Amino acid sequence: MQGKVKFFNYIMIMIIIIIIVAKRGLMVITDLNNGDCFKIKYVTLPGEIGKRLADMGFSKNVEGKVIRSALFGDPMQIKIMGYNISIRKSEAKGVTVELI
Amino acid sequence: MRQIKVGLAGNPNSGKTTIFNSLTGMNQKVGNYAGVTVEKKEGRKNYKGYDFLIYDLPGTYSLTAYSIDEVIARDFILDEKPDIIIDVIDSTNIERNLYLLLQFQELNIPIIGALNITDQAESMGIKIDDKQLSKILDMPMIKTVGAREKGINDLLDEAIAMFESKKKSVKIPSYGYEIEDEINKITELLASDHEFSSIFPPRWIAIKLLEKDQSAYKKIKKHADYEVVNNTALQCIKRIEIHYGYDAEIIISEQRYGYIHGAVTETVKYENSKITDTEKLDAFLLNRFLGLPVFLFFLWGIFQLTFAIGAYPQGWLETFFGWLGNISTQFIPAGMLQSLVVDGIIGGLGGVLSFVPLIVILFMFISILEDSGYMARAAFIMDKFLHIFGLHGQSFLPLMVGFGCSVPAIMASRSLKNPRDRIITILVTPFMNCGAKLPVHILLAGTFFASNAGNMVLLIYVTGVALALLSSLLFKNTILKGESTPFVMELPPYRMPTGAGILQHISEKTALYLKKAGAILLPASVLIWVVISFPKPFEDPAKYQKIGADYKIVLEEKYSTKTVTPGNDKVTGDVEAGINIDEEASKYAENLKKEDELAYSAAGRLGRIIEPAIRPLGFDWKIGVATITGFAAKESVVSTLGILYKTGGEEGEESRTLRNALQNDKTFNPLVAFVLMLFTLILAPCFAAQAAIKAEIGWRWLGFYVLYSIAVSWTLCFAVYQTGKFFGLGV
Repeated sequence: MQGKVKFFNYIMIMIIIIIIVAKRGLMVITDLNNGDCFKIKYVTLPGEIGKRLADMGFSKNVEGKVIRSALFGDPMQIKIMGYNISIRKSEAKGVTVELI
Repeated sequence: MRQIKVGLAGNPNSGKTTIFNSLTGMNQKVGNYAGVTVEKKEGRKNYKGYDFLIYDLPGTYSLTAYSIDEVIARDFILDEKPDIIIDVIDSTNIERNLYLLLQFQELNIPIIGALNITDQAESMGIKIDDKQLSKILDMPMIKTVGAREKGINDLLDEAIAMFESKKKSVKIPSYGYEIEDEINKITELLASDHEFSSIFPPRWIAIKLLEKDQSAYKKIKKHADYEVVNNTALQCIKRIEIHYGYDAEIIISEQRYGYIHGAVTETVKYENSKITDTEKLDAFLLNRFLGLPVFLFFLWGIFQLTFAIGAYPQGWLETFFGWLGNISTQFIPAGMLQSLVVDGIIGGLGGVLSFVPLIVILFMFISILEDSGYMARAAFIMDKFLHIFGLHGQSFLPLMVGFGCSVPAIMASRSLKNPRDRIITILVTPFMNCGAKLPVHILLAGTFFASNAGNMVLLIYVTGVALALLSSLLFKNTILKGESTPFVMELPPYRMPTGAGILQHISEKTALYLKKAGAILLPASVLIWVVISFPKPFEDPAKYQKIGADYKIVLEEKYSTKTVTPGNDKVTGDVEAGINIDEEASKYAENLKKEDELAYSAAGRLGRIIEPAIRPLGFDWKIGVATITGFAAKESVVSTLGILYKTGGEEGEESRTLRNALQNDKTFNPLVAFVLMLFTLILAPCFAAQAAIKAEIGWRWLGFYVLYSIAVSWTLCFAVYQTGKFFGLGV
């Protein structure tokens, strides 16, 4: 009986941890706050804009930081590979990252 | 002397222009690439017995087929086959800059890397082992500081050595086993057609095909086995995407960055990472709440300074051309020729040159904004608002300048890199009420809305802005539809602009204006002169002498009776001030003669021809004539009204006689006056602005624009006039 409860608790805790980790792992840039550092997982944007971002260095495992956003929260200033770039929220939504 | 053809490439903000200037000095030529407004610059340099022909390619981050700049850069290499490419690299940002370099290596041409801005990189604690980097990438790397002409001769020496040895880099970036496998398959197929592979490097085309590059797919249509190549490429893409789980073009970018990261880790050391000046400045200039007011303050300052400082040289030019006109009047006998020279040619030339001071001053400010790196910040601040209407963050400056003068404003839209954004911005800029239209508004508002004149003029300004925004919304959703441009923009580090750079920018823009706009504007002003001068009515001096004499009698009677019964009314006041009846009478006759001449001329006839079309707006043929002369310059509307309302052509917008004449005219009432203000605001701008539109985006867009503005102005004025009349407003 005791063992079963313990096992159940253990499973619950594991599920919660997995959810937290998965949630942390599946963020897009717009979910981040100013000053957050991130590591890029992948870019899911079709056609020109996806290629443009990839060309500018939005590439797997590249680290970056959210610096600030303009008056109405859009566009955003991102620091990546040591330089600053501005992208619109609509495009930042397509960049999946991991918080670091 | 042997000629070496060099293509100068690099990222935007890599200091490419300073390298180009250091290489060529003042020995450069600016033109346009055929059919597009991308500037084509070439320069020459004699060095150690070699004649260097240096082409400044557009600054790009990559070599995709999406942007015109990138297509130009790569087509230059494929078509012109330069002997050497010098790729300028911003050392403070080496990883992203090397990305372009790799793509040049793939094009299989001799290439030299110029590690530029090394001084700033060192002060930022970035140490680059150039020898090691050059070994890893198997190509020469030269350290330079373009702004201080450091390393320039090393670059030239290296170019000569490379040219003589014909040595090419054999090292090409590897994309990893899976992708290389696919690249090889396509490359082999492509190489089977020798004619094709002698023009296009097969490996490069293979990679471009995997990147889903539309222009590469067009190029392979020339291949003997087009179908096979096409199908193989599509199959290869599919295999890569199944293996990696996402888009092939993005995987290829990632592989390149992976390769670069490897090279950079071995050769670049980042020491201290203290807060840079750029970060400190940005904390203020891009501050969420302060950013916008600071930007508006800069804009206001530029606007004020441009038109305040510009007024002096404009005044000098006016005086000079006035003097030139007087001299010509003295030396050329009165008559047709004198009128042509003085009113047509000298007047037209004065018109062309009067915009030069504005262009010089405005472009001085614009190049300071651009070279310092602030322009990108301004776009960052304004983008959200303008994006709603289909405009770009950088459209703001041209629109703002449009309040002063459309000519420099239209030219300022060159900062917009994307053709679609540029076309929309240029098409809506003339809706911003320009300085030359203001006298018309002041005259009409002052005459008919005395107590509310300021508000009426403000209403006109607001209408103009609303029309500009709504029109761009309309264009965005109709004729200029299509995916909106991605707003992925580098915010480069702040850099001190160089005097030489600014001077060069100004002289380029001024030369461009004189060459392109001036060439249209001068004949256009002569044409306007012809239209308002010809045909001449039959000379009948006796008629006007009689009119003068009759008017003199009327005046004498009027004043003699009034003086007998003195009162407080105005006319008596005029007599007491001492009026010369003879002079008044001859002026009256002279004005009548001018009016008759204008009525008889082609412009007068045209005014009568278009009268039925403008009747529904409440206008008569006189307003029609004023509108026609307004094409030469919007200020002319006031002087034409002056002639037509018998007050002489020299009247300004503050003239009381002109105001009285307008008030007493039966055509005019407050409603008509307001409609005319609207009409002047919206109708196609002056010839100078039209010439600028033509120079920037071509005849077709100019034609579209003129028709559009006629349609909008007529419809809106019709609606306002008919509604006003229906409700009895201002009639």
